[in-house]
Amino acid sequence: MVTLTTSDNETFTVDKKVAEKSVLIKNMLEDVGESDQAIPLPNVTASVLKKVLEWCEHHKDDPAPPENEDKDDTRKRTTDISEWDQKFIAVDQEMLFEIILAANYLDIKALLDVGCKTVANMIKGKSPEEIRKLFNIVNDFTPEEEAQIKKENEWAEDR
Amino acid sequence: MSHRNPPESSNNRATNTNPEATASSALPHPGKTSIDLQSPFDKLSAEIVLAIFEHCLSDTPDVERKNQLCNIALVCRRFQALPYTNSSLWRSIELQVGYCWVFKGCGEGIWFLESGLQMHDHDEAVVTADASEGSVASLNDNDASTYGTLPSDDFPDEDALAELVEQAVSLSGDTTMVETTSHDVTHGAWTRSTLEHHLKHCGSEGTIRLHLNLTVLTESMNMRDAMFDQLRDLIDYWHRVRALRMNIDDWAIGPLEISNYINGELPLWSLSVQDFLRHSERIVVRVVDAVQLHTIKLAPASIQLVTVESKPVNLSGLEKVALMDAELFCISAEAHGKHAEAPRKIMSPIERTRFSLACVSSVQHLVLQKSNIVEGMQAVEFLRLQSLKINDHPLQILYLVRALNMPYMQKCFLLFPNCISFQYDDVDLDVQEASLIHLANANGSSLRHLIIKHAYCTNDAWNSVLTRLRGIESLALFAGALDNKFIDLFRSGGTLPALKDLTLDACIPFFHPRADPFNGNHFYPFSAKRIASMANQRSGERNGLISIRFALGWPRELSKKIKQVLMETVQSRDLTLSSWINPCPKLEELERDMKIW
Repeated sequence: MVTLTTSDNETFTVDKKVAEKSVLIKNMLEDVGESDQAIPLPNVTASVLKKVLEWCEHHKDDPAPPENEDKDDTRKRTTDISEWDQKFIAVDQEMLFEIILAANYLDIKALLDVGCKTVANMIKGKSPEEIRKLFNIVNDFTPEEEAQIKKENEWAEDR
Repeated sequence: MSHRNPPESSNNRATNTNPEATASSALPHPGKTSIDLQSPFDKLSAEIVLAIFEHCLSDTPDVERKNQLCNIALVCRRFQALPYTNSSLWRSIELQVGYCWVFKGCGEGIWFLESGLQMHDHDEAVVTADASEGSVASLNDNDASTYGTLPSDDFPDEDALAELVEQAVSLSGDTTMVETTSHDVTHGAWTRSTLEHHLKHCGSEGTIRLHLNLTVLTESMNMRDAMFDQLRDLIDYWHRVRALRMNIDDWAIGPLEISNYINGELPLWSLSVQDFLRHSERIVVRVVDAVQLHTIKLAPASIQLVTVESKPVNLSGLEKVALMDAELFCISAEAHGKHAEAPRKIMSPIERTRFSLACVSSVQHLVLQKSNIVEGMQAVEFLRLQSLKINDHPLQILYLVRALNMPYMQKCFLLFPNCISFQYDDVDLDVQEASLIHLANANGSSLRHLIIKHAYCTNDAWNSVLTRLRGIESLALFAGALDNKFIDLFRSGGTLPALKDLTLDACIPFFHPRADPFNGNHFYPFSAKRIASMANQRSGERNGLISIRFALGWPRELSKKIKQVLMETVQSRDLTLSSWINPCPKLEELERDMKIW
């Protein structure tokens, strides 16, 4: 078993196999050797780690990703999120982004992919204004700049 | 594998299965003031945001993808800027969308104008970019890449172009490279008067390099002919004023013969052919005397240097050669006649290669990438060769290092295929090991700097290689599968006695082709303590190790941890610990040399 301590000082004890879905934790365990000490995770809160561990528990028996994963086009298809993952990631926006950050920090590539694909699906097909509204992004272009960008992008419009 | 029901969601907030609804419900957050409002994207690194963009653009029809990209660019400044900062994203978009965006880079001290090229479909190329939309940028940056604005529909403004060139001339001293496009030529932006104007600004002592970016509109032979008419005019005039460095980026479909336009009176110093679309079958350059030709870069194309007179092409002046997925044919007109097709038919691949390499035996810098070198090739002497870069299949690399006699080679850069994209089998691995051992045997005493990428050797093989490299001062291993036992090879004082710089970068243990992560045969990451112990030992030796670049690259957190341990435990004051952000200068210089330009 492995003990993990979150930024808000909550402690989780999980099966080593589950914890090692995180490459960060796996490498830390290998680097420090056998130890009963808790592994501090200062960038992850308890609520987020709970969700992440839930994902790791479900996927603990998944085979390792193929070696040519980065070259695999199918990996980037946003429709490729499994049903379980879709329901898992159906959280509010704040939690979604926290999961992405945690997955990146913990180096859990598959979970990071699920998060990024979910956000990408939210962006796809939306206008700039809709994207801004959805993610509370401030339009920091001046009207002139916006007009210029639109002009520059005319080449890409449908012919 | 166990299958369980989808989660009811252990998180209290996770109740709505519609990501859009759940996403919008978080805005604004109840109880937060407007000052607290910020986008969740603000927390994400550029790397993650770019990954999201890539997902947005994948699995989407071409037209929608372009619109999607435009919509993203219009959201905010950060969204607009990010894709421009990431060339890999642009490259992926290029491939997916089917338009070409010209990124140009060249050596230090050279300036360029950037142009864009738009393809409406795969068969028709129309240049719509202009220099007024481009930028003049310093190429002193390491990457030497500048990402310009998207092309506009305006045609070039000659004054604006002249202004940019003038600026480039004034900033770059006596060396200027001006890049133009077929559009400029065919539409008259580059007229004789334009050239005269620029020449006046260069001063009498300056040398001008005219970088001609030839874009051939294959659907319109008239336009192509008109372009070459203009080009010939320019070259004729240029020749009377300055020597020419011909640099051709060829987007042609079908064979292109430029021999009529580089006539025999023109001294050809430097020839670069890059067929990005890989449609051009052959480039024919017809010259009387190529003795002044010191640089050839072909990537990728087949090129024939033929003569218009009955004597062989003299390439004795060649110093730099880069053959990247290309073949170099040096054909004597006397032997094969003037017809460009004849030599190709009558020469076997072996003869061709042997002849070609024999012609370039004077080179000092050689880059070979997928160069179709065949087994059984006779030994070729490169007595002046100082640096060699090979990027090829393991077997080809083995053939090359066996065939090339390079007794004085000091710098070597071997790029084996990445096992992520290349399926190694045991034979490939054995061949790879044999290449390294042969290299160490033949050149162990002359080699000073060695870079190897994607080296997947056993520790025994490494031991055999390293013990022979007596003169090695800097060694860099990128993306190999190395483990703690490898580090132990450095412990003995007899190994690599001259080593000063050691780089271990992104040596990802899990990607070793022979490692099976499921049967316990793992390759473990380096232990920070072992590296520290080795560094302490080596730095204590006479003329010992003074620099370690340890960037494991992945995962980053582990690298940070190793750095922390090293900082705390390595005792030598002379030991430099650098990260992937601050690469070892010598190695960086070496890699730059290998690119020739």
